[in-house]
Amino acid sequence: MMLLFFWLLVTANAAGFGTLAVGWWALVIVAIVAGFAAPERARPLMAVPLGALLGWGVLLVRSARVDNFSTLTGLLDQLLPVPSPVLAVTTLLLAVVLGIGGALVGAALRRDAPSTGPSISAS
Amino acid sequence: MNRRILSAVGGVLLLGLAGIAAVRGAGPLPPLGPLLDPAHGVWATARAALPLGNRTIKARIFEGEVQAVVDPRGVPHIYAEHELDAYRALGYLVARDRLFQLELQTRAAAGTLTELVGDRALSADRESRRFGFGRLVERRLAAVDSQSGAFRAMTAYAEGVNAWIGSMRPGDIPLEYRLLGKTPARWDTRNTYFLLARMALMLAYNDPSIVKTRAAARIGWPAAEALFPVEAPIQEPIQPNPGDTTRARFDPIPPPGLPDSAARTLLAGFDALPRWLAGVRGNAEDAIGSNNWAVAPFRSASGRALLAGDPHLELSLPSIWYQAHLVVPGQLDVAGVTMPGAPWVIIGFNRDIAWSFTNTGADVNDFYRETVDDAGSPTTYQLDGTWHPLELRVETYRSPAGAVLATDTVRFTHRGPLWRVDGGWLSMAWTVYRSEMNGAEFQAIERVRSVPEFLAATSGFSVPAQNMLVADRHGSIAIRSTGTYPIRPYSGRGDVIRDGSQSAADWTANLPPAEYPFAQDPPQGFLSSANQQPVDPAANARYFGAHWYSPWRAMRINDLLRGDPAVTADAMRQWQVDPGSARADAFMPFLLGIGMPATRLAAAPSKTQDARALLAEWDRRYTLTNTGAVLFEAVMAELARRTWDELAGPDSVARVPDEAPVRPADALLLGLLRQPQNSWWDDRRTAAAVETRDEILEASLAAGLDSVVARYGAPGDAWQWNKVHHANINHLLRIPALSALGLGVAGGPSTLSPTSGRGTSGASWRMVVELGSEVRAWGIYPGGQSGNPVSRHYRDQLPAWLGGQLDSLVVPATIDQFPAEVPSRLVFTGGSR
Repeated sequence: MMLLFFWLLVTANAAGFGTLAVGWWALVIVAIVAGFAAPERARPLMAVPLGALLGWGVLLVRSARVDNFSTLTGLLDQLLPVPSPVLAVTTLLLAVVLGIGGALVGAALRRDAPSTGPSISAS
Repeated sequence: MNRRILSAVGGVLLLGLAGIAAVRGAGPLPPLGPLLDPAHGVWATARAALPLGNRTIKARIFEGEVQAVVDPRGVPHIYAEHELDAYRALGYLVARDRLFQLELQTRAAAGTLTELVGDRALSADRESRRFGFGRLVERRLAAVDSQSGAFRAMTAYAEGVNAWIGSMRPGDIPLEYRLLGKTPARWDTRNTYFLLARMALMLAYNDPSIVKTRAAARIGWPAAEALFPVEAPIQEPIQPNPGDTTRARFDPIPPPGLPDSAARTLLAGFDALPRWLAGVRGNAEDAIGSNNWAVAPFRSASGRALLAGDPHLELSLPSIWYQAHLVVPGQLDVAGVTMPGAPWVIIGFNRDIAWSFTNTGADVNDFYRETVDDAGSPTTYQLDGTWHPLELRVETYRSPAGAVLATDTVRFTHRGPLWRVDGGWLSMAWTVYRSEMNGAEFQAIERVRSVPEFLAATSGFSVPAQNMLVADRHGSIAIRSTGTYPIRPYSGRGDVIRDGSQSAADWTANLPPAEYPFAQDPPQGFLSSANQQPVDPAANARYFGAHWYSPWRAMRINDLLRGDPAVTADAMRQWQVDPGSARADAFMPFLLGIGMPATRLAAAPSKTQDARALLAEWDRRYTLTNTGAVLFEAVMAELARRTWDELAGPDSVARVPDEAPVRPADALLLGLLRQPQNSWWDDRRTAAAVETRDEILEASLAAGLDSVVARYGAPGDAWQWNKVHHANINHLLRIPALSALGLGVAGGPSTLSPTSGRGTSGASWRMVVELGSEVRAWGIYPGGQSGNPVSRHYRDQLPAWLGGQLDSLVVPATIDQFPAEVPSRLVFTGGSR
């Protein structure tokens, strides 16, 4: 459990700072690397997407703390075909999907990966 | 092993699908990655809207140190050691606030919108390129003196714009780019030329020959000549008549004649011209017009010269203007409005003078019917009996991905671009094609210190011809209709389409500045202009144009000025939104039946009497809650429709089937009202009857009342002007959420703050300046400094603009005169080169 939490935090930090530094695609790299590096006991298929979710969630909260954020969401509601809360959920969902995909690819790239591979349902 | 492969395949598939959505978009959404990026995507737009704060900006382009303060209105005050550094800093800050506007308006002029928004802009791009601006800009750049002050200013400005583009974070990319899934292009000096060309197209295209030919195609030449005259029937000229008198002469209008067959043939082909060009000006009195006036010290309450200006243009969000204050000690201390994309203050003031422009509306372009070798795809044209090669230019339109969407061949004679019409080929000569168009005069104006210096600095200004009004702190005022006016052969007039096969039809020279309409320090102590005919033909018969705007606004301004011997700056502010109407004053007596026999009035249909009773109560003002203006406008529309029915008919350019595609100015209608038996009053749609003026008036009153009741119900609050008439300020991409639509606004057709039709034009900038030992200035525009829709400065000036208020324009001479607390305090430094 501690190991999962550790990798979740590592992924969250890397996803957050990476995105801040270079953009959204940093998350893909972070997820692949974390999926590759995290031991199976850390349950990377859970730790990485949750870390991605946390990293992007913190960035989203950071963006939302700006005074005129409500003006922005009001505008987005009119501009885009989906309301801004749905857009926010979509943002986080994108983080999770990229996290899972990256973790799967990373884990598959591990030379020492067990033949059974990682499992979401592992407990 | 199988599960491992399955995991890998699943991961790749998941990443692939998410990646496609992230990179290429999903459904109606643009690419999701850059859009939803929580640090730099659309969510960052709010952060990008915040003030820059206090910071130092290092960029190698700066020669010395530049300090800047952005004040609470979002206006930058730039204090530089070197002049070019001031323009660099301005470019940087304009780009920070208006980057998308910079690119969009340049692409609109260059005809490269498809590269930004795709094939939906193809027809607009084709129109732009047919004007040949690309060729024009290439020629100007090829001949430019790279050491000239104006070019160096443009280059410095471009460096500033690119410094911002180079330094901005992904989160700073404007919202519009995110929605389009695009990134900003770098700025080039040539873009400023395109911007100047676009301004010229907006203001300097006013050819009455097409309007008149369209009319002749329906009613013959004699009637067309009378309805679209060279001499406006009411003369309230910019160069005041002796004694400051208004002169009116309403000549008898000949009856509608038989259609002119040659004009009719040509008319069919006018569809081939750009749409708005074919319907040039049409019925849009005041659609784009402006006011300015100045008062000499002996007529002002303060004993100082006063100047007011309000250019009326197509309104947009963000605004066409960007406010700025530039200071270079000993060289420059100028404030006012710049156009995003050009480094100079276009309308504004310094410590010594203030200036503002209105458009002259002069006829500075002519059409020529050309003889070509091949009607389908010509390569040569005939001139003086010999064949000359056409210059061919292949225009290629590309998609955002660079794919070729279409190509066109644009042809040029020595006069200008050649356009195909059914009846043959027309070429266009235009002063714009002969202009240096390098902005040098704008740069010179910024540092002028007196009226004579201003007149000297602007004498070479070419396009668009402007009524340039100036006042100085010594108390002098002057106005001059400055620009290139071609001298034409034969009759000297340009309101006909000429045979292009003879070089003798070409322009022979330009009018020297000494012959421009002009006045300085007149006895009445004030000067004004409002796009009316600049000089009374009785005083100067030289041809400047035809089919002039009716001078209603000029009459109203001058009435207000004549009636106030002690004008104040605040009175000038109020006059800029004055709701009175000289047009209503002129027409109302006829609508009310003044002078008609009592028996006729009593015998009128009850609905006509009801309309007259309602109009009699109207105070002739277009105030927000006024309930009479809507009826007056409805009656006027009916009156024009019934009177000018001979000009109506099938015409692909007409927006409304039974609306005349071209319509005489209202001053002509006023003249016709003085001719009660004129055959123009007959409504030809009623074949069995021959109507008189009074019958048409009665029918128009009844129909006007009917239309208003049908639309707004019985007379009452629903008729209030602010509920039936609105200003609509569209975003540049016409996105409703980013626009300000349905704004209740005072003023109507031909008032000093005119709004008409769709309400998309109006006062784009209002300014009042008092010149003395200290300059005091006020200004406002309908929008705000920032192009970021989330910024508090996106439309923060709009409420004051709607209310007719002006902001005080604070312009400290030194940066230490600002309070300690300001939204942003910036230092630009160069570092090693």
